[in-house]
Order: sequence, then C-alpha cells, then structure tokens
Amino acid sequence: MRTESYLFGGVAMFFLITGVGYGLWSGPEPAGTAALAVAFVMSALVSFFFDQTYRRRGSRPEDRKDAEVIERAGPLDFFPARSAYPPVVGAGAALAALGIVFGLWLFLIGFGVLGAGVGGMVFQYARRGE
Amino acid sequence: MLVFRRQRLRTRAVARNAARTGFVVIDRRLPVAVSAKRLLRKAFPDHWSFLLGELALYSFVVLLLTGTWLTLFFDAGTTQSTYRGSYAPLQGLPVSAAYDSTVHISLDVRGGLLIRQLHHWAALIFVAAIAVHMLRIFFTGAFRRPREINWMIGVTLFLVTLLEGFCGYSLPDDLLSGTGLRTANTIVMSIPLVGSYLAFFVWGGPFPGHVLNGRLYILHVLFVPGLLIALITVHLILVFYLKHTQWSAPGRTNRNVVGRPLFPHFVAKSTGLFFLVFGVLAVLAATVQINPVWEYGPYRADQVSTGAQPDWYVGFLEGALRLMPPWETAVAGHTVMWNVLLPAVVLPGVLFLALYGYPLFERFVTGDRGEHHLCDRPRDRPTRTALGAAGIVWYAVLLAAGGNDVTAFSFHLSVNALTWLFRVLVVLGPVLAFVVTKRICLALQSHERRLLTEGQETGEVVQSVYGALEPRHADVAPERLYRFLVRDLPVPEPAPGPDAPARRRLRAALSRWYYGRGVRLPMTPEQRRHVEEALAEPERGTR
Repeated sequence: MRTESYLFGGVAMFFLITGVGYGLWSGPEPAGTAALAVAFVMSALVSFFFDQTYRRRGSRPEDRKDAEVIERAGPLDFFPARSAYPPVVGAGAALAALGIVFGLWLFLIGFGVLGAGVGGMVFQYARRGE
Repeated sequence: MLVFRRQRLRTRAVARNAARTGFVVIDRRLPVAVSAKRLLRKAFPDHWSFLLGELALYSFVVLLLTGTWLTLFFDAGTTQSTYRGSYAPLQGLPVSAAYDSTVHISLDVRGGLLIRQLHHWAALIFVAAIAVHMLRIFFTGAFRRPREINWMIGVTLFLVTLLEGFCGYSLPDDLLSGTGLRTANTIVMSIPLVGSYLAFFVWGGPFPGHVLNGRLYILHVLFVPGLLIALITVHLILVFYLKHTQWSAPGRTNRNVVGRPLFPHFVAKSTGLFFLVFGVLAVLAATVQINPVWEYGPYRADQVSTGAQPDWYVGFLEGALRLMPPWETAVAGHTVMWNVLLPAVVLPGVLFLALYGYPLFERFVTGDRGEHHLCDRPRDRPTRTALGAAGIVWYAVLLAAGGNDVTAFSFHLSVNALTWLFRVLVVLGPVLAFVVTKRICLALQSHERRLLTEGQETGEVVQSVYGALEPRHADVAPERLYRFLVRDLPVPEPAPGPDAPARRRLRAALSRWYYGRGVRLPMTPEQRRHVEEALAEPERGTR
C-alpha cells in the first residue's frame, strides 16, 4: 500500500501547491480556493488511509517485483455485494443542494434523506459475522 | 416482620376471594368466561405492516377525545358579530359565530390551540394511515376470499372519512374553508339536471346561505362519527371472525394463524403503539402550526386568498379540477359543465367504484374460488402490483397538480407550463409506472431464482491461484428459501377457441395478462409437496 500512498500523496501535494498559489494570486477568490483546499484534504485522506493500512498489514506480494500471482491467492476482504444506500445518499445530497437554492424546507427534506442514506450505508453490514 | 407477612398474606387472600366472587357474580349475568376464552387467546401474527390499520384506529381515538373537547367551546352559528377578542389585527371585523369561536379557542382558551392543532393533525394522519393500510391490503392480496366484504367496509370507511374530514375542514368559516365550500357548491351544481336543485337544497338557497354550517356541524360531530364507529366495529369484528392474514414462514400455512395471543402480548404492544401515536401527534400539534385561521381572516364570498390549498386528502380532486380543460356543452338552454363534472364527480366516482369492485374483478380474472390467508408478496403478483403502482402515480400526479400554483411560485416556473406538464403526466405517468413496476417484479423474481441456483453473495471476495477475483456464495437461509418458494401462483387460463363465448375469451385474455409472465423457481419434489401442503385450503367446518 506504500506505492498507493505515495501516489495519492503526490496528488495531495499538487493540490496543496496549486491551492496556495491560487489563493495568493487570486486575491483570494473563495470558490476556487475552497475547491482546491477540499481536493487537497480528500487526496491527503486517501493517502493517509493507504499509509495506515501499510503500517498495519505490512507489504503485499504486489509490492515486490519478483512476486508470483499464486502468492496472492486466498480470501481478500469483505466488499458489500450490493447496496441501495449509495443512490439514496446521492439523491439526498442532490435534494439538499437544491434546497440551498430554493429554500430551507427542501434542504431539510434532502438532509433527512441524506441522513437516512449515510446511516444505512454505515450500519448495513455493521453486524456482519455476529 | 412475621406479623406484617401474615397480614400481607391475609390481604392477598381477601383480594383473591373478592376477585373470584366478583367474577362469578358478573359471569352469571354477562358472557364473560365464554368471550374471554374465545377472545383473549386469539392469535395475532406479528409484522410491522399489520400495524398500519392500528395507526388509523388510534388517530381516530385521539380525534374523538380532542373533538369532544372542542365541542365544549365551538359554536357553529353563522350569526354575524363584531370581533372583540384579544387578537388585535382582527379587531372590529365582522365575523360569524363559528369563526369567532374558532379564533377564541385558538387564542383565548387555555390549551385550546394545542387541542385544535392536535385534532387537525390527527385527522391528517388518520386519513393517511387509512390510505397506507388500504395499500397494504391491496398489495398483499388480503382482500381475497373470505375478506372481500371487509375490504368493501374498509373502502366505505375511507369514503366516509373523506366526508368527515371535509366537514370538519369547512366548519371554522374562515377564508380558506369558505373557498373550499365555494368549490364544493360548484361541484354540486355541475351535476346535470338536478345540480342546481341539489345545491339549493344543501345550502338552503344560493351560496353561501346561512344553514350549511349548522348542518355540517351536526354531520361532523354526530352522524358521521357514529357511522365511523359502527363501521370500525364491524370491520374489527370481521378481522376477529375471519382471522388475520399472515406472511408465509416455516409453520405458518394457509390453514393456521401463528402469532402472539391477544392477551397479554398483543394488548400490551398495541397499547404502547397507542401512546406512541398520541405522543407523536402531540409533538406535531405542539411544534408545527396548522390551519392558523386568524391569519386567513373570516370568510367573505368576494375574496379568495392566494395559494389556497385543501387538506391533502382532497388535493387530488383539486388537482383534477385544475388540470381539466374548460369544456362546456350547451344543451337546450342548459349548460353541462364537463370541466367540473368530469374531474370532481365522475373521477372520484370511478375511483371508488374501482376500489369497491377490484376484489370481484380479480376473482373473475383468476377464476379462483378458494380461501386465502397467506399474504402475497407484491413481486409474485406482477400485474396486480403494477396496477397498484399505476394508481399511486396517477393519484400522486393529481395531488401534485393541486399545488401547481405553490410549486410554480417556489421553483420560479410558469404555472401554465406546469399545468401542461401535469396534463401529460397524468396520462403517461401511470402507463410508465405500470410497465416499470411489472418489469421490476419480474426482475425480483428472477433475482430470487439466481439466489436459489447460484447461492447468495456473502461479500467475501477471494482471489484464485490464477489471480481471478470472485465473490463467495452461500446457500440461502432456510427462512428466506421458504418465503421464496411458498407462493400462490394462479395458472393462466389457456386460450379458448374463437367459438367460445365472449365472456370466457375476455377472461382468458385477462388471465394471461395477469399470470402469463412469471419466473419458475427450481424445486425438489419434496419441496413441491411441502409448498402444496402449506398452500392447501382450510378444511370445511373446522373454524
């Protein structure tokens, strides 16, 4: 996971540099600066996650140049087979965003849908294997 | 300590004796033991969807309680006086006794606003609960024999509830409810031939008149609630007599009822539900304003407020009225107002006729005379489910059209464009909903078939020695397997020859439309025998 961590670390660095540069030279212009800052935070988070996973699990066959395919065989991990919640989260986010345009009432409805979607996504497989 | 203990034992013995004597005394005069034996151990199957009717029942209890309280302060008269209450903006306005007392209840009687809002919120939830309960019955096929008559009683309850709600909505004589009555007056007048006479009879002369408010009041607090109570009683007695439907599960067949006994489990849970309903309604009443009549002002026949909306359950009629093109025909000096007659008289008439007649229609199509006590899963009856979904979409479009002015205002749209959009949607929406729902039902069936043949993905991903990534599969759990397999699938009628009577050919065509498509599930002979046993009809004479 170290390679992946470096990869996303590089992306984060790119957004950090462009973000600081954009912020300084544009005056600062709020929308673009915020977008670049959020892009930096998101890629840094991914990089941090990969780094942590590497620290916890050590190196994998993929990380070595002389590894064979067979070395990786076996159970990989848990990936939810199917879930209706990601579309629910999407619909909730869209409604909440429309609510910012049209009024608080729509935002509250969107927020409710969004909350239900996020809650469902977090807890759908939480009791797996119990 | 010993003294206390002896005393306690003695008290207990006395109490037990008294209870026994009391029971004997009452049982010699009333059918207590007989009914207790039959009623208290009655089994009620457990499922969240079986509680929807109870939500309606408990909202109705709240309605009765709050409504009784409101009658203590409400005066339905139309006598005009000058407002002298505590709400400054209305000071000096001419108001009717009904409006005056409503504002008085809201702003001057202690707790009055809370009870009034509780009453109104309970009414909205009551109708909504009835509608959702009805959809549950429809989609699970719980209206089939032997429950057809109870379905019709339920539809009557729904109809009577709409009437009750509209009467209550009209009572305060504020600008909004007066506008509603104005619409109702036009609807009555639109009935060909008798319309004007009927309107004059109901309103006691030309609109607005002075008698309707008193008539609506006595309807709202005496006749219709009495009818509701009577119908609800019959409805519940029939639920007891015919027994509750249940979902198929190991041990639950078409011939038994498995569930918690009425006493104490069901009673305890149901009482809890009553307090939950009461609590949620009270929170709504305390925090969310509803029908602030003092802001609308008293009714005047020459005024209409903007954004006027009926309560939600009349919204579909309002929407139909707004969508209808302005068609009129003049016949021999009389005008037939299609623009009001079709959406406000014919349309609800057709809707309720369809609701009343559906069990008979499906019975005709299926050619099935058997008893059914197991709930259908909606996906196993694709055409019925699709028809229901089409109905819901049709109703929803009409409801949305009832608020086209508010929607146009909120979203900065043209109200005319919106009306045309709804006109298209009210025709195409149900068709689309039908096709999509039927597809989804069949897709869900074939998904189940895949689960049975290939197993269920566990989410564990495994990499093979060749590097391929594959999900792990596990067998479907026995309870789910049972639910998949135990399903009542009527056989489509084979096409009769062209010489067969038209009625038989029609039935065969409908039957193939209903049951022609379906996904077969793989079953071992033993499973097949088991399913047949679970679906077998109850034997005659063993009630």
